[in-house]
Amino acid sequence: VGALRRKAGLILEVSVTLAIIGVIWLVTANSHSPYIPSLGSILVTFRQTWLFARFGSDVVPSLIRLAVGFSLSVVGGIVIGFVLAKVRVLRLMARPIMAFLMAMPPPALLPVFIVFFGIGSLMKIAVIVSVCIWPVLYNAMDGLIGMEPTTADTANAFRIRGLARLRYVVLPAMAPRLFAGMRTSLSIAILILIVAEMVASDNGIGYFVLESEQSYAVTAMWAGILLLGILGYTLNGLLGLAERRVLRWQLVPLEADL
Amino acid sequence: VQILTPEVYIHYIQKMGMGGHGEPVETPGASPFGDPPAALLLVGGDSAVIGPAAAGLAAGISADGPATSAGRRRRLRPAEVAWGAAGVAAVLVLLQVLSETGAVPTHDIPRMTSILASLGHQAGTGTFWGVVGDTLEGWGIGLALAIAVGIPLGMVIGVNRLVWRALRPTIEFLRPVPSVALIPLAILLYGNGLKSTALMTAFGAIWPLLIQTTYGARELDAVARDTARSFRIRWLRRVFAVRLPSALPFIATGLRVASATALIVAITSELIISSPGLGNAILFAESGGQFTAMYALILAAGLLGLALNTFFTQLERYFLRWHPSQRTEV
Repeated sequence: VGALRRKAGLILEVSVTLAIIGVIWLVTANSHSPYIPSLGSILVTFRQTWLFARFGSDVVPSLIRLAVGFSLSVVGGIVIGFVLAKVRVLRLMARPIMAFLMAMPPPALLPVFIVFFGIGSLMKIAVIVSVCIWPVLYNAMDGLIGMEPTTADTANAFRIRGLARLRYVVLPAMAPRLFAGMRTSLSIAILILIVAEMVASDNGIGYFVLESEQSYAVTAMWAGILLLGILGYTLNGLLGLAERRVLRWQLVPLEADL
Repeated sequence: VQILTPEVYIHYIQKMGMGGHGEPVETPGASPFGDPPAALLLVGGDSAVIGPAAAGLAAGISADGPATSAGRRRRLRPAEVAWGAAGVAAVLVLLQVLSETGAVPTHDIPRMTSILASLGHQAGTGTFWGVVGDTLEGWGIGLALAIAVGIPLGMVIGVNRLVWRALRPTIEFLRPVPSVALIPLAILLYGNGLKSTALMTAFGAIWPLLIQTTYGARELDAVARDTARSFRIRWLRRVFAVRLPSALPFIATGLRVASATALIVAITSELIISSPGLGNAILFAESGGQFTAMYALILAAGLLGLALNTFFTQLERYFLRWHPSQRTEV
């Protein structure tokens, strides 16, 4: 019965989703609105634009900025989070400042970074790091503080130190919270990158979308929005896959029945 | 004397945390980082706490700061507050010293004292509060729209399994779409005004609310549900007396995340489509070379974010007060 129900659920998922796409297709097919072109023409433009005419000039720079900024945030967050978890006084001193910086709406910081770093890739990477490091840092720190005392005691008793301790004690203790932080960071990273590319840039997907709108290339704009949607979905999905794999000893109860 | 109506009884059950809702679950298992030394296997894995916060994590929309564990956080001790104040003072003094010694040219970063003075000066003007009000207007309208659509929709999707299955792929696809990607579209459709800002803000804020409400409606305490059934409480009353209260903590978490997202999107749209507000004022000060005023406004934006976050964290704590994760050990 379970297998049958699962199959029925899958059929429901697929059919309703296809129906939604179909309705959008039909409704927009004879659209005369200059702002809402037909889904078919958007897909054609999508293929012409992104496969692969402007792939190298706009998609690649965006992806590189994202990858560098996100990686730096994760590494930096883990390192600083580790230090703060170990040094209580430092942690207590840093808390209100961190709370302030985390509550800061990231786009408000953009003008500062433009002043300091210009409008190139360096500015975008700096902005991404300045915004994305906090969720990682905070969660790495909290995960480590919340480590089972028994785990730490056992590691001490067996004198597990150095790299072995990092690999078998510290990182596993951090991992669940770390992934939660990374997921938040990734969403913000994509968001702030697009904003930065819209506000000040001469290439990138965000730049392309706003540029298309300003030159009334509406179909191209839609193709860009579609690409951003697919990008957000894919990157989140990849991180989710990595998380499920790394935390497969942990996530089972959360994943149940969803 | 309280009469034991079904509602009271269910409330009581939820308060006691019976039925396993919110209980920590031990999941022993091997570490994902290769084979651990044998000794550590004895210790077992971490423990996962299932609860609103964890559901938020599962939805991929939470854990963005201290507020995630806000519920669990105890009151700070005076010594901890003192250290925190010392930390803030240290940073302010350090920045001031860097400016005074010329290590950081005041052209790039003005003296901290001048920034604070500028903030104080601006806070005395009506223009400043008008700008803050503009930002809050876009934020508020967007958030209200998101609440009006997100919570009822989330309840419907959460209560009915079939609806959830049917809409899941669409929601899962739309949720990670960065709301700012739609800014150009909003400009085309609604021009450079409040309408665009509110629409963008609503689109950004609706997802955390929708997902959290859905999880909340699904996560109904089994005992409470069965009690409601055996008392034969009618459908509508069941929704308001059983489902909604048990979903409230989840909704509160969603509300906090939605508020933060709404503020981000509101300020972004002020930056890009120059609708009035803090974001626009910051950009204006920057392009006019008034860096002191710019930093003061950025400081104000941070304080605004902090104030909103604190408010919603308190709200969340209030709604979570019955939850098992809130109990302090005696």
